[in-house]
Parts: sequence; C-alpha cells; structure tokens
Amino acid sequence: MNIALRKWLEVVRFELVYQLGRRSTWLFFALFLLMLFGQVNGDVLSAREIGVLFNAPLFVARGAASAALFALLIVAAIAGDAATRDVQLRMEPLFRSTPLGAAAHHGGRAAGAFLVVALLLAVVPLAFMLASFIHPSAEAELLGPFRPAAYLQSYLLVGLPNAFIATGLLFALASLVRHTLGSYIGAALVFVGSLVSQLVIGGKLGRWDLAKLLDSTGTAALSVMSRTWSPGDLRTRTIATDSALLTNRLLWIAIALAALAFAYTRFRAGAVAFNGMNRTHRTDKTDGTNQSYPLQPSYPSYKSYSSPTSHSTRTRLHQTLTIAHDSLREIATGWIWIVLPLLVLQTAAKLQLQGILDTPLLRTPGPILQALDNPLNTVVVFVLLLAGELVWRERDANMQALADPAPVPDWVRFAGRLLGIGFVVVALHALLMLAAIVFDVQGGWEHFRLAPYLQLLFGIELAGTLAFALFAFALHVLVNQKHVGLVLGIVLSAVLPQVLPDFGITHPLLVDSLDPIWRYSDFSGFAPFLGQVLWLELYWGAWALLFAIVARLFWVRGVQPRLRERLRIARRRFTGWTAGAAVATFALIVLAGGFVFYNTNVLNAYAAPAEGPQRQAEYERRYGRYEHTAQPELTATKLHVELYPERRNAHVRGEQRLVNHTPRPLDTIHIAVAPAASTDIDTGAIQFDRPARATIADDALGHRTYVLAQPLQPGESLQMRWQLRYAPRGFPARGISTDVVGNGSFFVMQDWLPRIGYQPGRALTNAGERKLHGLPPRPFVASLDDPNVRQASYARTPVDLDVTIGTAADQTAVTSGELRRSWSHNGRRYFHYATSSPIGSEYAVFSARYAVRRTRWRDVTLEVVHHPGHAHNAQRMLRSMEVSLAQFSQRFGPYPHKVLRMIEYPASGSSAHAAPSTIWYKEQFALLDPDQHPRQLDLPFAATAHEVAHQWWGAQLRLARAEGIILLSESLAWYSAMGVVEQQYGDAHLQRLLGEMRRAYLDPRSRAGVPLLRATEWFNGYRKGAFAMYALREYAGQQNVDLALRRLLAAHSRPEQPLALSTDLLHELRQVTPASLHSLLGDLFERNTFWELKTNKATARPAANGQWQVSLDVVARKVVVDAEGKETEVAMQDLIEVGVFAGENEPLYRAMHRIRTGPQTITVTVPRKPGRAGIDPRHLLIDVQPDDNMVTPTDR
Amino acid sequence: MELHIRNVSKTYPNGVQALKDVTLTIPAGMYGLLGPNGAGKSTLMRMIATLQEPDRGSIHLGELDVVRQKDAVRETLGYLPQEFGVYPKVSAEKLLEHFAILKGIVDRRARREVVEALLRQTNLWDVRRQKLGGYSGGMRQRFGVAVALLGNPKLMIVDEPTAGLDPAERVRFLNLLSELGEHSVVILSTHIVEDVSELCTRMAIIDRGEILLEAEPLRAVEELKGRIWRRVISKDALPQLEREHHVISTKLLAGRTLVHVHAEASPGAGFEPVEPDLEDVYFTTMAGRQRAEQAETAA
Repeated sequence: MNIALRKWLEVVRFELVYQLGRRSTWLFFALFLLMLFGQVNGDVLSAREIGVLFNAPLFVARGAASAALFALLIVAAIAGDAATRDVQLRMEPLFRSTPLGAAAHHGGRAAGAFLVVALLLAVVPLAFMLASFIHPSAEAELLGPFRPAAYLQSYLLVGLPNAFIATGLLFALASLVRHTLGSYIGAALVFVGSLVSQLVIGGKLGRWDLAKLLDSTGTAALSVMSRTWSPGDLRTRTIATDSALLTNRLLWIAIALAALAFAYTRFRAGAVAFNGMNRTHRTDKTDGTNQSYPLQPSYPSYKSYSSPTSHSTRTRLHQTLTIAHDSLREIATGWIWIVLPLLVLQTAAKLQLQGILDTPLLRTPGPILQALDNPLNTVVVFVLLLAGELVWRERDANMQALADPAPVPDWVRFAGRLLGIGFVVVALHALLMLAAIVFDVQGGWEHFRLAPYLQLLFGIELAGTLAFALFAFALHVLVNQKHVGLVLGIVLSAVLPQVLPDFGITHPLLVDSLDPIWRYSDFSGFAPFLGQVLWLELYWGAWALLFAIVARLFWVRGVQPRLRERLRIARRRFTGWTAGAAVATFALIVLAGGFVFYNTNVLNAYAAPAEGPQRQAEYERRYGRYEHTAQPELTATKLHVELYPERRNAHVRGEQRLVNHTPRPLDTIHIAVAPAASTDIDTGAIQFDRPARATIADDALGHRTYVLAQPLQPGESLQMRWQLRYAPRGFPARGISTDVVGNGSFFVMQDWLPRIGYQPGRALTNAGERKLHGLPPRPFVASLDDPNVRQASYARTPVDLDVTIGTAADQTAVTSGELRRSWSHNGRRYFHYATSSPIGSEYAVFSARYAVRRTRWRDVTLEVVHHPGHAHNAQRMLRSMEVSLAQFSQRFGPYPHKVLRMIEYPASGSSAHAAPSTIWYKEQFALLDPDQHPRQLDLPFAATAHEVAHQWWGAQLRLARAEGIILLSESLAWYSAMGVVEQQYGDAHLQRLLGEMRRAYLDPRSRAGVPLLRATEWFNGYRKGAFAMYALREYAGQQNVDLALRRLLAAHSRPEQPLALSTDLLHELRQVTPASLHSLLGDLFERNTFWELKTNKATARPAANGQWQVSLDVVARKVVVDAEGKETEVAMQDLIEVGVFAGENEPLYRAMHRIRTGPQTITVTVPRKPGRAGIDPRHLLIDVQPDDNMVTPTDR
Repeated sequence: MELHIRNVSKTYPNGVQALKDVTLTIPAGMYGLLGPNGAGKSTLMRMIATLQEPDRGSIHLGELDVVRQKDAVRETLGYLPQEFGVYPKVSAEKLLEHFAILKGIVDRRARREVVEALLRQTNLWDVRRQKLGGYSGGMRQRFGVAVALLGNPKLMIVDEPTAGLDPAERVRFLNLLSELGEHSVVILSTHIVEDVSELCTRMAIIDRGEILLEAEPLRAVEELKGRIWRRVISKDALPQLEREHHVISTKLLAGRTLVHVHAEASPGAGFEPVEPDLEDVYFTTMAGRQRAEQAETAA
C-alpha cells in the first residue's frame, strides 16, 4: 500500500479512536438515542393517525431524514471539534511540521468525523426495524411485509449521504473560520435551508422542482414523494425509484466535496496566523517593538504603588459592570454578526403576513405579534450559544490562570456575564420591536398601537428569555464542557418539550414548551392568557434561579477539578447565604408551582391529552347503543343568557319544547349535557312539565337519561327547563376557555346546551384511535353504498329561537334571529332576539364592544358586526351580502330569514363559518387587505359570497352525512359565488379568482383519489369540485345548472323530505344537460378523471384579407386514477375549447373542438395577429398542469 | 507575614502523586523553589495561588487559610503563571485596566496611574495600544508580570518566569523581583539554579513531590565547603568512577568529562577540591536522594 495513503488512514483511524474514546461522544450518542427513541415512538403514533404503514419504505426514509436533522447538532459538535481541535489545543504547528502535512491531516480528521456520524446514523434504520417488532402499538395493521430494502435504502440514500453532506459542510465551515461555532452556524444554515426550501420555495412560490434540489437534507424531495405517491406506492414503493432524490444526493455530495476541497486549499495556503474573524493582528507584529527594547537597559526601579484597592459593594458593582462590558465586547466582535442577519431574515420571512389565496393581511399587532414568535425562539438558541462563549471566555483564551486569582467573587463574574447577555437580549428584543413597529407603520398609522408590542416583547417574552439565559449559564457552568452544554441545552429546551408529550408528559409544571400559550386579539389583548403565562414564567424563572444558585457552587475557578473535588469545593461554598437564597428560591418555586397546580389540578380537573380520546371512547361504549333510539324532537328554544364578561362567567336559563314525531309513545329521554370533565359548564337539574326521574346522570361524560312517569304520546309535546352555569375557575393546564372573556365573548350554543339523544359527533373519528380504544371501525361519513345512507343526518331540525342576552353595559350582544328589543337594567345591557322563521340548531352567542354597519335588501336586514378598528372590509362585505342575496334568491329560491348577519370574533385564523342567518368570521378575516393583493383579487368579497351561498347549500339544502357532502356544500357554494363575483367585477376578476384557486395545483399532490361524488376532503370540495361546477357552467350554461340546483333544493329542504346526496345532484344535472354532455358529467363526478392537455407549438401566418391562420400542435390524453393510484388511460373524443387571443386575453377565436387522444394539429383562421393560442384556455377541464395549455404563436 | 504549608498532599486522577506531605515555612523575602521538571512545583504554586486545592494538608498566609478563605487571600495575591494566554483582540492597556478593576482598583485616576506605571515598569508603554495577539512571547510574559504586580501584592507567586526570556530580559526581570522581595513574600519556582542563587534568601529543593532540602542558599553552599572534588576523565572511565565514588554531577568539557564528587576527604589521586556553588548543593541533594533509593531497592 501507498505509504501516504497508509499514513492518511492512520490519521482517520486515530480520529475515529479519539472521538470514540471521548466521553462527550458517547454522551452525544446517548442524547441522540434518547431523541431517536422519542421520534420513533412519535412516528408509530403518527403512522396510526395518518393511516400509513410504519415499515413502508418512504415512511422509514422520512424517519431517517428527520433523525438526521436532529443529529445536525451532534454533527456540529463532532465536525467542529475535529476541524478546530489543533487550533484550540495550539497543536497546529506540530501537525504542520509532520511530513504528511497538516492539510492531509485535516482531510483525515474530516473522514474520521464522518465515520463517527455515519456510525451514529446507522442506528436509525435499526431503531425503526426494532420498533416494528417490539413497539407495543405497532400492530399488524400498521405493518406491511418486512422489506430489508426499505431500511437499507433509508440508510444508503438518506442517512449516509446526509451524514456525509452535513459533516463535509460543517467541517469545512468550522475549519474556514477556525472556530467550532462555524459548524453550529453551518448546522443552522442546513436546517434553515431545508425549511426555506420547503416553506418558501415550494410552499410559497410553488417551485417544488427547485425546492427538491435545494434542500440539502433531502427532506423536501421525500415530502413531495409522500404527497404525490398513490396509496399503493406509499405502501410498497422504494425511494430509489425517485430520480429527484438521487439527483439531490449527488448534487449535495458534490457540493460538500467542493466545500471540503475549498477549505483544504485555504488550509494549505493559510498561515498559522490566519484567524477567521481577526486577521489583522498578523500585521501588528512587524512594527519593530522588539528591536526597540535593547535601548532600554533595564526596567525602571520598582516602586510600590499605593494604589487604593477596595472590595466594597460599590467595587463589586463596578466589577460586575466591567465584566458585563467585557462580555459585550466579546459578543459584539463575534457571532452576533452571523446570528443577526439570520434573525433579520427570519423576521422578514415571518412578517410576510398572508391570509387566504395570497391576500395580504393588514399590518396590525395581532398577526405581527404571532409572526414574531419564531424569531424569538432563535434568540433563545442564540442565548444558549452566547452563554457557552462567555462561560468559556477566559479558558478559551487560556487566560484563566491570570484572571482566576483576581479577588472577584464568583457571583460577580456570574452576574456580570449575565448582565452582558441580558443587555444583548434586551437589545435584540428592542430590535425586533422596532422591526415590528416599522413594519406596522408602513401599513399606515391608523391601526398603530405601541402597547401590544411593549407588552409582548418587554412584558411576556423578556422575562422568559432572561430566565432562560440564567438557565443556559447555569447549565454551561455545571456541565463544564462547552459543546456538551450546548447540545444538552438545545435538547432540554427545544427537543424534550416536543418528545415528552408523546409519552404522556404534558403538565406545564413538567414541560416548559417554547410554543406560546398566549394569543393576542385586538378585542381583548393578551387576556385571558396573561395570568397563566406570568405564573408559569415565575415558576420556571424560579427554577432557573435555583439552578443558577446550585451552578454557582460548581463554578470552576483555576485548575479543572475532578467531580469529587468539585463536590468538595461546592460543599465549602455552600454557606448560609447560599442556603438562604436556595431556600427562598425553592419557596418561590413551591409558591408559584403550587398556585399553578392549584389552578390546573384543583380548580380544574387535570387531564392528560390521552384522556380526551379515552373519554370519547367511553362515551361511545356506554351510550352509543342509544344512537338510534327514538327520541322526541326539539321544536322551540327559549333562552335567557346572562353574560358577565369581566368575571368570565355566564348563566343560562332555558326552556325548550320537545314533540314526539314518532308513531309510538316515548317514555325515555336521553339528554347529552356538556360533559363536566372537559368543559367549564355545570348543567343543573332538568325539569319536565310532567313527573320524570333520572335513571342515568353521568355528568362527567355528559349523558343523562330520564324516564317519564307518563309516556309522551305521538304528536304530544313536552316542556323542558334547566339552568346552566359557565364558570371557568383559574386556568387549566392547557386550552384556557375563551367562551366568555372581557371583550369578545363567543361560543356556539350547541356546545353548552343539553341536546336530545346520543351525540355521535362526540365520538372518536380517527380510524387509528378508534382501533386503539377497541372501537369498531366507523367511517367518518356514511358510504354512498350504505343502504341507510339517507338516515345519516346532522339532526338539524329547525327550531324557533327566542333568546334574551344580558351583558356588560358597554357591550353589544348578538345571536341569531331578529333583534326585537334592547334595554338597560341594573347597569347592564339586554338584547332580545327571536326568529320569525325556524332555524337549525347551530347558532352562537357573541358579546363585545362592537361597531355595526347595516343596510337593507328588500325586507332583510343586513349587518356586519365588527371590532370598531376592523372596518376595513365591512363595506365590501355588506355589498357582497347584498349582491349575493339578490342573485341567489333569483337563481336558487327565496332567502327564508329576515336578517343576515356577519359577526367578527377573536380567534386565530382567517376563516369564516356560515350558520342559518348568521355568518361568523375570525379576526384575521377582517384584516385581509385585498387592495394589496398582488394579482388584484377581492377575496373578502368572494368569500362573503361563498358564505352567503351556504344559506342555500347547507342551511336550506338538508345534507346527508355521507360521501360527497363536501361537493354539495363547498363546491356549490363556490359555484354560486362565482356568479356574484362575475356580476360585481366582471369575467376578468372571476378568471383571477379561478386562477388563484388553481394555484392549489402547485402543491404536490397525488392524483389518486375518489370521484367527486364521494369526495370528503378539502381539495376535492373547495377546489376540484368548484372547477368541475365551473366547467359544467361553461359547457351546459348557467341557466341549466341553476335549474338543476333549484330542483335539488326543492326536493331536499324540508324536514319531511329525504336528505340530499351527491348522487341527487348528479341526477338533477343529467336532467338538464343534453346527452352529449353526459360523458363529461361522468368524467367530472363519477370518475376521478384527469385531462393532460398541452399545446406543443403554435404557428401563425398571414392569410388572405389581412387574416391570420393559426395552427396548433396539441397533444391530449385522459386518464382515470383510482383511489389506490392505479391509472387507466381512456380513449378520448371530447369537446374541448380552443382559443386564440390578441395580446394577453382579447379573444379572437373561441370554439369547441373534438379532441382525441394523442398529438393532433388544429388550424383556425383569426382576423388579427394572434398573441396567445392554445387548448382549453380557461382551464375548464381538470388538468393538474394548466400552464402548458397556451403558447405564443411563432410566425412562419 | 509568613506562609505556612503543612502536610500538603495531592494526587492527580492519572495516579501521579504531585505532592507528598509537603511542609514548608516561607518567610518574607525572596524564596526559591528549585526542582526538575515535573517535581510538583507548579502544583504547589497553583495551590498557593488559590487555583487548586490540596487533597490533604493546609496552607496559611499569616492568619488566612488559603484553601478556605480564598477571596481574602486573592486580595493580596499576585500570580504569574508558568503558561497563560491573553485575549488576542484586546490592547495591553485595555486588558490591564480590566484586570486593575478586577483587582479592586476602581478609582479611575488611581487606576490610570497604576496602569501607566506598570506598563512603563515592564517596558510595554510604547506598545500599550497594540493588540495582545501580536505580542511576542517575552512581551506577553512582561504583560503577565504587570498583571501580577497590580494591586500591590503581599504575596507574589512566580512560576518558572524566566523560561521564555532571553538572557538580558531575564536579568532585568530578576532585578525587578528582588526589589519586590523587599516588601512582600515572593515565591519563585524554577528549575534554573542561577535564578535562585542570584536572588533568594531562602530556598527549597523539591523532587517528585517531596521537599528534599530547605535552606538558605549561602549557608548550604558554606556547608559543602571542602566536600566537593572535581576530576576530568574520559567518558569510558565514568562507570568505574561512579561505582567507587559519590558522583553528584558530570559535565562535558572540551570532549572529556568533568566529574564532581562529594566526599568528606579527598577521594584520591586526580581529584582536586573545588569551591562549591548552589549547583553543587542542588546536585548533591538530588544525587543523595537517588543514592538512597538505590540503596532501598538493593535492600
């Protein structure tokens, strides 16, 4: 063997043995195994939840990718150490002088580090394999046949390449800047790069092809696979079949090699004195001072300087400030310049506030504050990094022997550095606040308020970050190994809180999550979350303090002592003062923790997250048998609601009428009350207007059974009276109830009131969870093949509603129905609402300091009830309601109520919900800013029309809870709204709306699926179904489609009529369309059909009379994809629009042509020179690649 | 003020016993701690400088317990470690000021004066604005001296200070130390005999963790008077000579070997008496220990 190679191998071997011989390496391994354990466990649970095979090749590979992402931290520590050890230990000249050369040495180091990481990641497939055999929850259903290739490929294509790429990049970075922190920054870059690829390049820009290449971890490529592969592929296909992944691997291996080579050449060329961030001092040497000293024959005679030294408290203060200043100098000349841009980038990315369909949000505190949360987590990690640097500041400079004997107490050093970090933290918070304010003000001054920013950044977050700094410091002092401290710190603060919940450990006293538990609303600020936030902060802050007090005892001064010596020294440092401080801090922990515990476990019943499903399962097991038991029906409800917003309290008195609509006498009434175990509602006794006795009163699960002394005869009615109290006590462990708050109360009354009969809606729906709890499988909705499918109802019998609400004097209370009267009494405001036509059982109660904008359309009162500061869209919403009501009542039939209200309520998100006569929308819906939409779309207008359409499709059309329900509700709502948008803004705007909706195609998605008739999921209902209805409108004419819908409504809107199914819609559509379109109907609704239409080329040449002849080379194909992903090509002979346009979209020619499978040429003559031409220009047919339909013709 | 070291022992995790039951009393003035590399000098220095703790035994500076009252000891302590680094990106003046504050010189005027005086004293005044990363070994050593001198130390510990200095610098430094010795306890650890002989009023010889001799250099030399003999021989004759006589040191002299022998009376022909110096004291002590050990193993 070549001598040089053998020497080099010796270096590799040495590095391997060195790393494996270090205690820290094994600690990293242990930490990694711990994380892996958590991850595998979580993956088993999530495989069940999303219903994939736990040992499917792609699933294992994705597991390997996320484990490799976890491992980045450890790679950073190992590669960083390998790259910079010589510099750190000042051994570099020694190695440089070896015949092998330092650069070769360097390469050996890199190879050694890679082997260690490769070894580490080899554990991942083994862990997944092991888990599939021994994990208690990995049942047979979760496992396909055992495939060694799955595990092997997950290592060879994901784990091993990631080990190489990460080690290579991080090693190169660390050796270029000659500091281990280079590798940590590298790890952050790899991580951020992966996120940016997926969230921004893929998610935002839709360039998934690029994202797959740019994500060095391969996660984006794997994620695209998981979304585009059919269910069959997901179970069995191996990842080696994906060329994008292979390309990505090769590309990044090449980049890693290039980075190593670059570092290598720099290293060869680099002098010893090259020192990344401080290259200047090399020149300092040449100023000739050495020559000058022979001129000074001797030192001046020594005289004793009677310098006044002092060790008073003032001195200590001065020294603390000096050390703080020194710490700041260290921070300011170092890594902050790398972290700061990262922070700025992250903040900038997060501040791109967007709501639905790319509509920007108004720049107001709510969304901005939510966006700041992630950058704040970066600050936390930065603090951990800084704390390590500062704790090791003197030792890193090898100056401890000079500095440690200085007469400065340990606490002064501790406090000084903490102060330094504290200053930086405050500065960073101020910077973030400034960024937020500038961003806010750019959107105009009218919404600007300083208070929320101050409250969040300097109230809620600052104390938490400072407490974390204390913890980070203490951890570094205790661990006394910089990298171990860093890795351990990140594991403890960021990873553990993610993993522990999978093991059922969730109590906020045990897990301090980085996720915010607050939510900001313009209605109520940070209330009602503030109390919990502050108490928990106090509690965790006290722990950090105690930890720091303990750590101070172990502060290393002078020579690195052994553990036993550290203990001995600590024992000596443990003075009365320390003991006192520790006891006081512990008392604070007990006090704050006790108060939290009192709130979460005494005032509220503490339930681990697993208990929720358990209760649901128990409810079904015990009372599911009453699901089909005949019950009287609710026909009228009269409520008196007293809200006490300032006390977060409410009291409801109810009187309801039940009628026996069944042909038999009924003597047993089952009533579902709000379960006391999971809500803050206490339902009192229920009284009937005839003798009855309770036989079951299970308030924990929320079921009561009453037996009437005299059965209720058919047609006979019964009065039922009850009272309930809503009184949240303190704060629960998680999920503070926001039903009634200081300002902005909102609750859906169904959740509060007693309801008749067993409530299937309370049962578990997730298939995996049902199995886990031993429940029989139960589809989420009834199958169309189920003979009883029309019985599957949401039980929405219309009721007459009469509600009186009392609330605070300055608030407006709203619910469904017309406002009959409002008055003041005893310093409170009262509102009386009643319906003049029965409505369903879904209605909500609102109370806030509202502003109301009102108009009338015929005899219907239209209202937008909103936060006074959120008037931005009120006018256009009102306008949309008006146009919609006018148009829909003409197209589909009359609007049955005297009022239509849209009401804003505080909640995160920007969605809206329609209930009969009432539409409620979340705060961010009000903040949508369509004026700033990049492609000029008035989304609030369109969305309002969509919600108003639900007054027909959902509120009037009575839907069976069956497959295809989403087609009948959401697709029809969009179909209806299109007409309103078109009427108000014209066809171009409608095309823009459709264009925005079609952007959903940019998200990678498997084409496997059910036909629209059986659709249940979002994409089919809100997008594909809407496109299908639009296509139909253009093929068959809106008149005809509307006629079909009118007929559908007429047949399924009254209680005595059967519930509507998607097949009923298809039936009605068939009636109104000519036979020539029936195959299109079948393609759109009965089969999951995709057209692949493409114009390869268009040529235009002048013809006679100044006309132009355009000939199009198009290629067409039609496939039907089943739910498993099996594609069947079907011969096509379809009528498809061909269009030629002048400029961008001035139509010159638009006509239907018969298009068959395969390539074909179409020639048309147009009056002017064409600008664009192609097939299906309006994208009427379902084609997941709409971009290639149109081309610019070339002249011939 | 005296420094009392009583029964101090220290064993390192790798099993090396650095100090074995060391007892010393160090009075004011210059005190030399002489010993070969690895004798335990630095361990002892670090213990006195509060940077390390003995496994057993006690160290007292006057009334102060060095182990338990570290903070009080540090207030009067000046320590120049054998090996140390500095912040490379900071100027000497800035860092010295920083140390001055740490030593408790908080008054700005006084601090300025002290810093200037010390920088002049250590001949660094002209390069005070230069970054420490650009200092040569000798300059850095002088900077360490300036740090050690801050705050008027009553106890000065200098660990192998002359190792990195050129001969001229060494002389200047030793002069400075001797001046300092007039005011306080100065402990100088070194493996260079001249350092001690030129400066110290008292000394101890330490080897492998044990104190072999505690004496005043002049008296120790005096005591050897008439007992050291020299002879120049060929290299081959050395083993024979070593068997017959108590050889304390050998030295090459123009290709032949110069041997020093310890004997109460003339060891024989070819030997001539020499005036002993401290080196002879040192080698006699070391050789005596060796001899004793050999005798032990022989028995």
